[in-house]
Amino acid sequence: MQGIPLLTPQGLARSMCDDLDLAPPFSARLFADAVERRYDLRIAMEPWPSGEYTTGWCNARDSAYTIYYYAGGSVVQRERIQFHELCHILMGHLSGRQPPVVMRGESGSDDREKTVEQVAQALVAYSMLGDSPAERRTRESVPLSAYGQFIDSLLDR
Amino acid sequence: MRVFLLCAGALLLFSSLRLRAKARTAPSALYVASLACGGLGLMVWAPENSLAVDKLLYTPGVGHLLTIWLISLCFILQFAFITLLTARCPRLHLWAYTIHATLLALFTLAWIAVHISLDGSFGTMAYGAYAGGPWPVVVMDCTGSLSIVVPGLLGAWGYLRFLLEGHRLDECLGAAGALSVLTGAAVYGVLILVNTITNSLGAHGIGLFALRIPIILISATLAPLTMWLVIHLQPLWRHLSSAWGHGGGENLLQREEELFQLRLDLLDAQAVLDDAVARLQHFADGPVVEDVASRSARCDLFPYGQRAAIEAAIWATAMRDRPSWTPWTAASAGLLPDEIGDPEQLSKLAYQAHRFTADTLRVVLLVLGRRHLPEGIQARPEPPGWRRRAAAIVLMALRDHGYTRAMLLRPHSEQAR
Repeated sequence: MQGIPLLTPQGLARSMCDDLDLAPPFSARLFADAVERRYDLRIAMEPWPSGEYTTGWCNARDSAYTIYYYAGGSVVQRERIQFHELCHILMGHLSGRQPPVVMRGESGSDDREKTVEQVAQALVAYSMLGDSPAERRTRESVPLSAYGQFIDSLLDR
Repeated sequence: MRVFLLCAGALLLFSSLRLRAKARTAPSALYVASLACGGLGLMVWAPENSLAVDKLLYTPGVGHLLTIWLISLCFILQFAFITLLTARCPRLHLWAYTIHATLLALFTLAWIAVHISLDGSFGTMAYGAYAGGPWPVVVMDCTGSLSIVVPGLLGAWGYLRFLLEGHRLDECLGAAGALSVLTGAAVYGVLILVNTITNSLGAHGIGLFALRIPIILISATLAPLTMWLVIHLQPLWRHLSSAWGHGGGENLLQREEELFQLRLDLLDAQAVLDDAVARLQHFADGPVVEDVASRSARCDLFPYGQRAAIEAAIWATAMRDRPSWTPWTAASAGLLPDEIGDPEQLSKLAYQAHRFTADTLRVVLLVLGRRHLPEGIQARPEPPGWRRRAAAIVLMALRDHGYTRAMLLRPHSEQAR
């Protein structure tokens, strides 16, 4: 993670991925799987049943989390919503001890939402595009075919 | 010379036949048509071939008529091609085509006059190296040479502008080849003109016409030479550059960084678009927005103003559901319009934010009206202009759909109560 300051959204996103031992390309589901393994949690992700527009919703009950997301948009939007809610879980904004239903805009200040959104934005970019060319030179490269399989898996879902 | 012109003409004709399948766009069609005219014109240009055409069509002098027409059309089509490619001066186009058509018409009239007056001796007089003669012949030669000079110079001007704009090396080399041919032809036309006038005035033998051979040879050599350079020199240069390491690696890295940044921007743009679509579908009042779009298109509002009016309609009708609406733009654009609590922040947003956001905000404030603004927000007086017209359009659409200003900031739930 040379060259990326830690106290930036990109730095936080990268440190989360390094902590979870995740290398791009990966989807929000794979990220959630890694969080489950690392912290012994259960995370389910489902489209918001009514189809209503919400940028994300997370239901926390003990160590089980259910993330509801808006499924009416593109893959990029869906991934971003899921990463946003996963960031809330990872950054300790939600826990099983809190009230069972927490919704964006109600769980904390707007500043916190904005920070989480910026980290989610960085996570989407990192998960889909990987390192910048300058960073990539210092890391082991991923086979090009891996990106093709990743995109196929996203579109098939 | 006859063999050379036949070969060059056949090559041009062959090129046009080869390219005809690709001539799907207007510039390509013009280029192919120009090559075909040029190829046929070169083949008929040699006096022996012109005489052969005369005999074939039983019309003395028709070979000369065809030569001038075909070469002239070739050049004006080159002019049309290059100016269409660079989208330059449509007004100049009209003038150029008018002058060209006039010259060709005058030449044709003079040719008819020569044909009637000279008939059988046309071939001797017309193909006699522009040695002057009866006035119909002088007029025909002068208008004929001008029919070459004018489109030749126009085409050369078009290619020169193209070169000065600084395109890729291969495009510039191709343009340089065309420029050399057109300039050479224009100079050759001037020589014909000078020779015809001086001979008809009796000042024979000033020797300028002898220059035509080197001019033809130079321009005829430059065109294939530039094509050869396009084909062979550019790959050679690339090969040498990479072998010598002349910044090739650095350029590649730079390109990689730029592409990566572009992909990042595309991801962000996708998210912003998704949010805008969802906002429109789930929160804004679709019929109102459509009404504003059709009204602003009917009014004399320019496209940017129409966009601002449509966006203002979305904002105005989406405000009612603000508590559950947290758009992606909140992360990147900072303050949202209705989060602003004091005039200083409002002013800061209006003057520092993206121009479109600021303009939309000013239209929305006009739509809301001073009396209905939330406490703490003070809008500056809006001078007369397109924003007022845009706001009037939005207001009309809102009223027609049963909205009042007071309703715009009231949540749905309250309205239901």
